[in-house]
Amino acid sequence: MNTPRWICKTCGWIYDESKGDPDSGLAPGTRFEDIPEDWSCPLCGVTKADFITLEEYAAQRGASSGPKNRPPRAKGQVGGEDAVVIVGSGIAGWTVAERLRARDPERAITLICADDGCVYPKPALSMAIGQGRGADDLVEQSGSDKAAELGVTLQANTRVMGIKPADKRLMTAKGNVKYGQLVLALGASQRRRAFEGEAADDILRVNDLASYRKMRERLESGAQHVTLIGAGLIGVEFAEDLHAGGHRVTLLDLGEQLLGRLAPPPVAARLLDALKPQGIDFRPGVSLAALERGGASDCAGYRATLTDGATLATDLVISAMGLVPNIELAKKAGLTVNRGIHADPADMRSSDPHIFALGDCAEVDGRSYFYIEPIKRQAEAVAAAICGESAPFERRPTAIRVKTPSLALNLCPPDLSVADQGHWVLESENATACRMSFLAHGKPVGYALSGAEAAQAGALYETVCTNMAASS
Amino acid sequence: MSAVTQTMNTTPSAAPEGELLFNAIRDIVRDKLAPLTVKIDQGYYPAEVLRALGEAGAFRQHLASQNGRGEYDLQAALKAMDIVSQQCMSTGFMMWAQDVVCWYIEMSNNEHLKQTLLPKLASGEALGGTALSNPMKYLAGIEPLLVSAVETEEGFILNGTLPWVSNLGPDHWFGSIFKVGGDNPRDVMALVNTSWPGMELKQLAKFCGMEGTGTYALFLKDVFVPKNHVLGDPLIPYLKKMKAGFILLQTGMATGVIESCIQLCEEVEPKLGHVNCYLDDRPDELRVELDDAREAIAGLCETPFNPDPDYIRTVLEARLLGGELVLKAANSAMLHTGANGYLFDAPAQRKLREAYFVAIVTPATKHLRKEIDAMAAA
Repeated sequence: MNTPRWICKTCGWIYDESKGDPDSGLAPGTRFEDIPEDWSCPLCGVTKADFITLEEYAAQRGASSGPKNRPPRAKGQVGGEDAVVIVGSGIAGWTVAERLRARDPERAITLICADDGCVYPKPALSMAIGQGRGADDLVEQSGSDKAAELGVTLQANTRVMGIKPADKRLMTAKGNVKYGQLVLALGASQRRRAFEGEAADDILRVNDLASYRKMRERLESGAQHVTLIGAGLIGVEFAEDLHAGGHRVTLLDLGEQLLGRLAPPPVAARLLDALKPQGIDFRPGVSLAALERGGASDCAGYRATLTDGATLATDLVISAMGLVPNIELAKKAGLTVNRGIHADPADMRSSDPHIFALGDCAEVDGRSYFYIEPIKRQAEAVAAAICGESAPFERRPTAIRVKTPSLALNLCPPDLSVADQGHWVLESENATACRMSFLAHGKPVGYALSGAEAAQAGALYETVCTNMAASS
Repeated sequence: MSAVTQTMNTTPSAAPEGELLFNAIRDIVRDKLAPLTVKIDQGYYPAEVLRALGEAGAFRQHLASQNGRGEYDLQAALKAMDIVSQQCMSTGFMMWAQDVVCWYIEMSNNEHLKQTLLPKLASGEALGGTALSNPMKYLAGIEPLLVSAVETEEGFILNGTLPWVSNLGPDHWFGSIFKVGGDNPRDVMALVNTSWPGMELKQLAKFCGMEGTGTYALFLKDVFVPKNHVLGDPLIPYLKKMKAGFILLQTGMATGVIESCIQLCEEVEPKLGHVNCYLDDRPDELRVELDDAREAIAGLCETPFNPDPDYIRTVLEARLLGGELVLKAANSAMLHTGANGYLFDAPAQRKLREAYFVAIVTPATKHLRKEIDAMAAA
């Protein structure tokens, strides 16, 4: 690169001494001054006299006409140095786009997502069968329509491979994207565990529309037997919805009851009583050990071996062992992560001042929020902070309405700050109805309501909020 | 079998590594490859260059059993391929083929081939190709398997046709996956020689470039493959083990061509910078993207046997990125060099044709997107 080079003023051909011009008999290494005068430019035929050094050439042009700054580009802009780039098209990602647009009509916003960006209500994934809705029926708006409505640049079907916080850019499978401010709405994934058996890779984890669609395709061929691993919120809701679709269900959980981390035993027992008549077979203290292909055909028919040694024939296995925040990108980028990506409740800012995190991937004061209501408030906090305003995310108790049609259930588990400072108290019970409060220092800071008692949730939630606000 | 006794229990001597290796490769590129680049593009098969690269140690960096260091140094194999591809991606592509045919044996449990053939392939004494384009598309649900087999006591009898297998010639080796019928139906992979009875190589198609890559249609008629040439049976666990390496090893072609495209842009900067600055994808921007890509690939090369689906997906994404970025860089090289890049033997237009190859060769951009899409729903 540093060998002397001369350029033809007429056509721009470059004579490089190290390469020579072998076609004209100039060996590599021939110095320019040693070139015979009758030699001519191999491209346009002018003589040696029409050559000048590259430095002279650059001095003539660059200094006079070269713009100092990068001139504007023709290409449509994905991201940009002044743009807000949102990663993720779930409820968290789109809500930030909405709130940001509401506060600032002019701001350049790009949303990048691995899927097609379509808008759908995620809670519906565990009730759609019973409602007679297919995967496509759940789509409220296409990603491109939503983007056009909000004036957002959508870069769909693009996964973010890396974040370079120091240079404020993302690496994607379609090339680099610059950002001014970055919002991580990366969601969570169903926990993976390695199971034994040749069919272990066939186990489904349902946490978005794409995986949900796959599940529904697998169930299309008529009534099936489905094994659900995990009897938490997703597990019990799926169990009942699958049953509503005419499928037989076996529900496994290593714990001794349904909704182990959310509901006290008397309430969980009532749910079990409601599920049993539907033929939902709950096996407490048991999980899957191995999954083998059972039948002659390799697309359906499995033999599941359980941890207690029992075996069962099943057509589909769904794993719902709990959500794990997607933190890998943030971790690799050097952001502070714990179970989720650390975010400050004041503005949902991560440990990097130009990066925000919210929704299932975020962790605020040691808590993850996998529910819609707090995500919407987190989105408000992010949008406000980006616009230089303030709308801090307040911690409120988590109210959960369990989507089990056979038994109304409203739960508000105690916050972790009081979980070890109190106990559940049974306040009333009558057949399916049950009302329990979690008392800390004598005051209710959580509840679990079933059946007719579930209707009391509104009033009780206010009480719990008041008590929690007073205690903090 | 005499070869077995000769090579058994001999520890391979340490292959050159680091800058020593890369400088040797740069010398081969300058002295042997550069004068042939245009000829190779048009149809000359550079066996002598491949053998020289093999002797220099380029094909054994990723082979723990052959490089004397006991480590799977994919990164060094890639850098060697990168350096060569900067000059001639046809040759870089054949290095991949050679690297991968070695990888097949390294990843297998076939001690016979490891002792006899692997040292020859790793040193470039024997040459070979991958032939897995069709099987990879078969496994991704894109097309059916094109070779079938009948199992006998001693081996398998193969029939079928494989279009467009590269780095072949007489007495070359390739990996074949075939569908076995009979009492124990399954897919099996074995190593096959192009000069075995029943094998026929036909050069049917003429491509717009990269003609010197020894690319043939393979016709197999009752080709007997002895059992001691089996690489994978059961097939799937074997393929899973070698998949990340197989795909990662391709990325050296892309990074090499991107690097050379950036250099083509940079070279004309003194002359044309005052007007090239109006173009998209300027060399400094491409340089940042290439550095990021190389860094990401280097990270992935550290754990080629990581079974985590997220890891495999990232490997596919890195390969996808290579295909996207190389097109962008080659397009930029064309626009930056202008008419000079459009000349018949200009590097820029050759780079453009090479770049399309990266995006088309299995796993192609569309194939990768299909696989990544399928993984997203799992």
